[in-house]
Amino acid sequence: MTVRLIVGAIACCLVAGSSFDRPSPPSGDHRNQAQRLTLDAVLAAYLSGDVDVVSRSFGRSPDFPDRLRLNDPREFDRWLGPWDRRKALFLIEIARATAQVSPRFPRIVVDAGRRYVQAAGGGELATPETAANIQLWHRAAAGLLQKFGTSLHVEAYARDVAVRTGAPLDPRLVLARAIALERICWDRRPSLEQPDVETGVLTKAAGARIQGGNGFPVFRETTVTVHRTCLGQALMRFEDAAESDETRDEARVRGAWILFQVGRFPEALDWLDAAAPKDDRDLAYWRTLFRGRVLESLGRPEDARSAYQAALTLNPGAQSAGVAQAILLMRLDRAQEADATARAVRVSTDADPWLTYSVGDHRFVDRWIEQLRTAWR
Amino acid sequence: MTMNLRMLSIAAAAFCVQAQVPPFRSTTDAVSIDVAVFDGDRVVRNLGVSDFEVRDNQVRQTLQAVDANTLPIDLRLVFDTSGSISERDLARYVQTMNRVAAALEPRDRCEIITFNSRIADAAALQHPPIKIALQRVGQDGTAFFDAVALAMVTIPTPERRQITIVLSDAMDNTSLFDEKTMLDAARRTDAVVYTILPGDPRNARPVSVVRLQALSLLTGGRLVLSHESQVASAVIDSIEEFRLGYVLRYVLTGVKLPGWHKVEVRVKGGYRARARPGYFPRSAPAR
Repeated sequence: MTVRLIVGAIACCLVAGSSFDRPSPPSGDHRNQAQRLTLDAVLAAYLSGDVDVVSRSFGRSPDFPDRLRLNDPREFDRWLGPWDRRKALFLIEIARATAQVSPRFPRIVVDAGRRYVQAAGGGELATPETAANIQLWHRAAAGLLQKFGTSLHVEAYARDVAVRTGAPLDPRLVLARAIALERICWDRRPSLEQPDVETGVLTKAAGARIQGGNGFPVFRETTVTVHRTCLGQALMRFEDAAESDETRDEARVRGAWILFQVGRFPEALDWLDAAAPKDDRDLAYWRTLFRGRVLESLGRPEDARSAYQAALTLNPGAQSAGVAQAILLMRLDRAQEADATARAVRVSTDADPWLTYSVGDHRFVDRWIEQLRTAWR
Repeated sequence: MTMNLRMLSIAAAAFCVQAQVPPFRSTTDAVSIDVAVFDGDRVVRNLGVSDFEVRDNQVRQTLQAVDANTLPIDLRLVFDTSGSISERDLARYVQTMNRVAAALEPRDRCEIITFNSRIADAAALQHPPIKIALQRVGQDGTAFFDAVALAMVTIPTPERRQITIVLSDAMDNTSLFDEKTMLDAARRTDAVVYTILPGDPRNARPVSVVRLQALSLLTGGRLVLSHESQVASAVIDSIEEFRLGYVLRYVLTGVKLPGWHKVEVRVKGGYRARARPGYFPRSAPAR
């Protein structure tokens, strides 16, 4: 029995109790309904022009991917079969859609898609156009992993692509690897449990004595060293990413954020000033926001305030810049202004680009998939 | 247990000699400090000026007055609504807020802030009864450091006492700022901060306990570990404890104004005093 039949049979058995949407309006024909529950049927509907069928089928029912055994790599691989660019496109659409029900599905589907895209042979892949679209596919996949996977998933994905292609890694994947390490470093920041010197001194100066398992103040040299080493490695990756024209500006902005975290403020400012984001509004916002933080640390509060204001001009109502400005004003002992700013922050419902910082290229995924649709459907 | 301190610097007189001359700022600096006094775990009441001794940067100060339960309260409730908060949880939050609001006196005021990846007002500053508009905003994620740092932004209010109560597990994954910034902001706030960690105290994460405890200690408040079902009571008890405290007032004498001021409060009779460990002077606006 072929995998397709197995999937069809499973779907047939489940049809009576299924609650997910059908890929196309019910026809009343029981047999056709069952058939529509298969990947083939959804693919057919998708290719016929019903692009929303993917999100309807995969983006609402948490158990649908399980029912179709998307988490069984062998069966999934068998269904994919020989190279078909439309199936590759279909996969990345499924990966995006399943994120709506669980972050684990995109990882499963992306992994299957990576194997499929990389294993596919034949003359079509030799064309520059297809190679470029496959690169776009990898970018979209890595972008999904940046949002729905862990840093280790992104790292493994990029490394695997590098090993299998044998070619220089796509600059955006070089950047994705750097961001993955940046996120790991961020998660390893010293905290009060394992405070660094500054935090310990701060709390001690205030006269506070924290009762905890570690006692306090405690200087955990190891934690601080590990964190600094991590940041140093991430910085090197951003230096690599800055070698490419395409990723230079973002690598500089993110590298500056690393430099800020290790206290190299003048260098951080240089990196930020060297970046010139053009068509990337999020990146422009991050750059301006970080300039504020760096300038504040350089003892230039008025310049910092101007930077925060500039960030708010780029994205009015962004809470991160508002919080930064309110805290700065509080430190400057301008209580009335700080309070007014804080109140404005709390009533803002505008989008905040800071919230996309940690997920890297995920902000481009929709655009890239749209480009693939144009090329491959 | 914690103690409270509020510091307020007031310019007694500020004037311009001529229009083109920069404003001259007088330097009469009044300080007010929130203090809670305990005999064991019992709150001690009916104390007066002669019962306290205050040192500001190690210099003994002369108390001008002690206010005991005479001032209205401004309460700022900060609720963590991140994670998998169900509709039931949200309903329970509203119940808690309503119970707390009902426990306030008519002259008090209350405002409510919620946060996940975003920070939002659930109730603007107002006298009871409090109109609460709790809603889900923002994406998944928790901006604990940013939200709490922002909640530390206050304006000195000489005729009111300020208390901030933070309910959270203190976990963070989306903030722009970090622990250090939050703690620095706590040292500058006018409010006393009580923190409440909901959940089974036996399973409390050390990092949550330590963070919330630091936040409280720096402001003269305290950390309360509370089962989910008893959060409302924990909030109300914290408010009552705060209300029964004292405000010590003195004019800063013999100490330079700028920088961090370390404060030590002692009480006669062997009682235990809890107040914030110090403050940054707040300058008065030039006129």
